[in-house]
Amino acid sequence: MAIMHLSDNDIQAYLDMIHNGLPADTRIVQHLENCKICQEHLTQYSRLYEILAVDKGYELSPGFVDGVVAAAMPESASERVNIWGTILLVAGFCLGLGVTAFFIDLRMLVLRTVESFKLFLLSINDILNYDTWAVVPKHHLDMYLLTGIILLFVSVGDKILFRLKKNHYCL
Amino acid sequence: MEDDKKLIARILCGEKEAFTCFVKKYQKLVSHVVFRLVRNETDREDICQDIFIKIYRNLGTFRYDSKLSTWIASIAHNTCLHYLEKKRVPLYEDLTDTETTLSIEQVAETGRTIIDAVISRDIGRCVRKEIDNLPHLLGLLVALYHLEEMSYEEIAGITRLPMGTVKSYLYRARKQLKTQLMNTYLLEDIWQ
Ligand SMILES: [Zn+2]
Repeated sequence: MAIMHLSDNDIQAYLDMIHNGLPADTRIVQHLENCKICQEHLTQYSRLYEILAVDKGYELSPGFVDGVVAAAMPESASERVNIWGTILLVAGFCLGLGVTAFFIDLRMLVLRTVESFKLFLLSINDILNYDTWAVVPKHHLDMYLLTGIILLFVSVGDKILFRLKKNHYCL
Repeated sequence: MEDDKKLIARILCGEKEAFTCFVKKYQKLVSHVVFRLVRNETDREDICQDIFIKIYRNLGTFRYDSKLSTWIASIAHNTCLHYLEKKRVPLYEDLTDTETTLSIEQVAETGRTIIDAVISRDIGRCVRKEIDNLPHLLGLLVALYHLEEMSYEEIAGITRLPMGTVKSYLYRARKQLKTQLMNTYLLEDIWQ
């Protein structure tokens, strides 16, 4: 009676199972244990699998990665927004100044601004000067302190939130 | 997967360095798909670049319901199919049951390469030449299974072929490679 040897597909199926760490078909294992011809066949396929797994593949040109990055991200969105933001801010400021100068007596405006600033500086001076604290109405002092504390909380909270967000998305 | 998640998040934040890492990490996979499907040497790198730009633009839509490599290979495969369609190159042209026969020029060219390669003991180069002589799709399946270590299921997902078909095409590709190699190489050069 003629011996039925393993087919190419049997041997490849056996190697695939081993390749994927799965248990092989016992019929194939038993046949391989006793048949020199199929063992030879298996050795050839095993070698083929080894060679196919070490093919280095094709080389792309050395500048490929930089080319792709430059094409996909010509300039980062944030950079673009920053440039346009600055241009708009400067343009807006100039326009606002022009319109104000056109409609309002600039000399009066400057004098009033200086006057207000002087008053502001005086009030700051009053707070900082310990000796005059007693003179400053108490409710004013409380208001300044409360404003300061609120501003401090807001800025610290904002920093923490920003950092958490950045860490979450950009680490 | 976790590393890929972090990398993608950084790319979505606009970090160029992260995208550079990403391209370096996956350029082999993309080139395996493109170089096995597209034979026109002048267009291959442009196609690879188009694929990465497509990936970059769609990265925000990746939902982690498959492996990132499978998703990338699918985009690469679809882009190549689109290119081949435009160039009117049939992908499944030579997958009838008869095994591929080489022209006299191809045999001569293969013979020259083989002699060079055997002299330099670069068996990998010989095998690559033999894979190039396989039908496009079979070459791709060999690359995805043996080089990218993808499962039959993943390959079926990428190529949208039934899993049984993927398996039988791969069996056929390996059998053909083994026969070609045995016919052209000295036993001791390749089988030991
Ligand atoms: Zn046998």
